[in-house]
Amino acid sequence: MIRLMWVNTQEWFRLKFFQIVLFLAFLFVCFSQLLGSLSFTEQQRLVVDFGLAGIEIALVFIACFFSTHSLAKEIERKTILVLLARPIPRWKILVGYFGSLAILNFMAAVVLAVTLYFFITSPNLMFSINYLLAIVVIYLKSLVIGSIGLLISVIARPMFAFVLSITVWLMSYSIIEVQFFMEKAQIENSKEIFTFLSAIFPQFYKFNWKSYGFLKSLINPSDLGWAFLHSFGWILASMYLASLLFRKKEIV
Amino acid sequence: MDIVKVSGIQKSFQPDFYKKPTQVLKNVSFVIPQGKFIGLIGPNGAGKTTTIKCLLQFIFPDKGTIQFGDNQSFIEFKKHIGYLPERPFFQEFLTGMEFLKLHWDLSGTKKDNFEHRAAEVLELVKLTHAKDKKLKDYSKGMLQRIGIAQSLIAFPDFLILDEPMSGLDPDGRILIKDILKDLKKTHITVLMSSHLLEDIDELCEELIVIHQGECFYNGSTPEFKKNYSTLQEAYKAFKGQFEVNYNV
Ligand SMILES: Nc1ncnc2c1ncn2[C@@H]1O[C@H](COP(=O)(O)OP(=O)(O)OP(=O)(O)O)[C@@H](O)[C@H]1O
Ligand SMILES: [Mg+2]
Repeated sequence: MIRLMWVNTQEWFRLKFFQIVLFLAFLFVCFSQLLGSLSFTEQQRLVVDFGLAGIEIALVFIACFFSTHSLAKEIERKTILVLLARPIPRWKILVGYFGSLAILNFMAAVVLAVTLYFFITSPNLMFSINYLLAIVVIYLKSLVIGSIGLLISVIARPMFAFVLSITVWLMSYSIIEVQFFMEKAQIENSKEIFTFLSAIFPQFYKFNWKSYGFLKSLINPSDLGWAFLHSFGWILASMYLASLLFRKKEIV
Repeated sequence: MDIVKVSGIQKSFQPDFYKKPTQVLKNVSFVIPQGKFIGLIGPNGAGKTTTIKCLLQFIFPDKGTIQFGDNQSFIEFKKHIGYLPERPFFQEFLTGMEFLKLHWDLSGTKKDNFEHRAAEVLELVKLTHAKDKKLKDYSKGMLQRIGIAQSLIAFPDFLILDEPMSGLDPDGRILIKDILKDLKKTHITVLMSSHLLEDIDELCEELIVIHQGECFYNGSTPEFKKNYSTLQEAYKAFKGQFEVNYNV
């Protein structure tokens, strides 16, 4: 399993897509620095806000693309047949893909986070800790989206799965706004709809710490714990469901 | 002892939900006795590859059962097999050596002399010179040969080869035939599908004949040949029972 993970990681590391996204994100982080230097008073704020948003977008795009294309491509090219004939259960192959995604995004997160950190002038200790936590949470979110992408790709075509998992990511932030509008518009059963939506989408809006304001004061430990539990819960649930579906999938 | 016992498997494919399913395997039963070479023959589209896919649980039969050993688990069964797919599609970003290493590790073999074993199988398929080349730079015949090396790498007891001779030049064909002949001296079991009846005649003492999704014969090769001097003639006579129809 570890071996499989490593092989996949190597392949994707060589892949142009990964390098391009990383390069764009890098530019974005630098760009946020440029923006920051334009308005002097708001400098720190702009750098951090834009930079963190850029990092999240980059990681989520890598996660979506990797999760929806790796397994699907391997099935499409029939290269998976010889792997399936080896004495490893199918779920381990899935976990192998997830593992490679975790490694890839970890490397991307480290590179981007360090780059952005260099642009922040005189960060104090508390800010640095919060900054690290924010990056970890962004990383976790990308893994959640990755596991959902993998789940969708077991049953759907790669492009469709890609679009769908990006949608899940967007929805995970905007369900709260959806609720707000539903209440404003006095739609019937808005509560029930909201409960339903919160059940089928992760609730990233609850730990959206990608802004300077948040990072200046300490992140609440119980919020942090909730963010971790929520993410791990989603990853476990998606991977479990994906394994169940993949176990019975016919590879023709 | 039988390594595999297939009883009455049926399989239909439904390419799209609105289309009528086509039954590819209608009734396939056979046994694979240990230590024998078994040839799986039949015309194009008879269902040979589909049978092998059922055996390896890439797909699941609609009806019928497949029993491994004396009720071995499927994972346990897979520890002892080597498999060569019909078409040699492998992770092309790996080199020959990395590819073998991957399969060595995945096979979960307890032995630890990979370098030695890899050199051995590479020599066997005459690919030692290309071991550090990426698979995407391999020719079709080389891919077929590295595929065979892959199936042999972890000392399998049971080889499943789906058309091992396809895509090979005459030299390659002779090479593979010689490898198989050498394997015959060991206790290995081989199930191979092929269209080359002379090869099957030469190598396999057992036969499974599939035609239009049905298994018509499962027994020894001499028995099938009975009144004919070659397998080719016997097969022709067998086919003569049916209206020969090449619309497939
Ligand atoms: N995924 C699939 N969907 C629909 N039909 C399929 C599928 N796979 C195979 N078939 C059909 O099943 C039949 C048997 O195919 P199979 O590949 O088992 O034949 P084969 O005996 O291996 O033939 P060949 O000698 O050409 O390799 C063919 O008619 C083929 O069209
Ligand atoms: Mg075939």
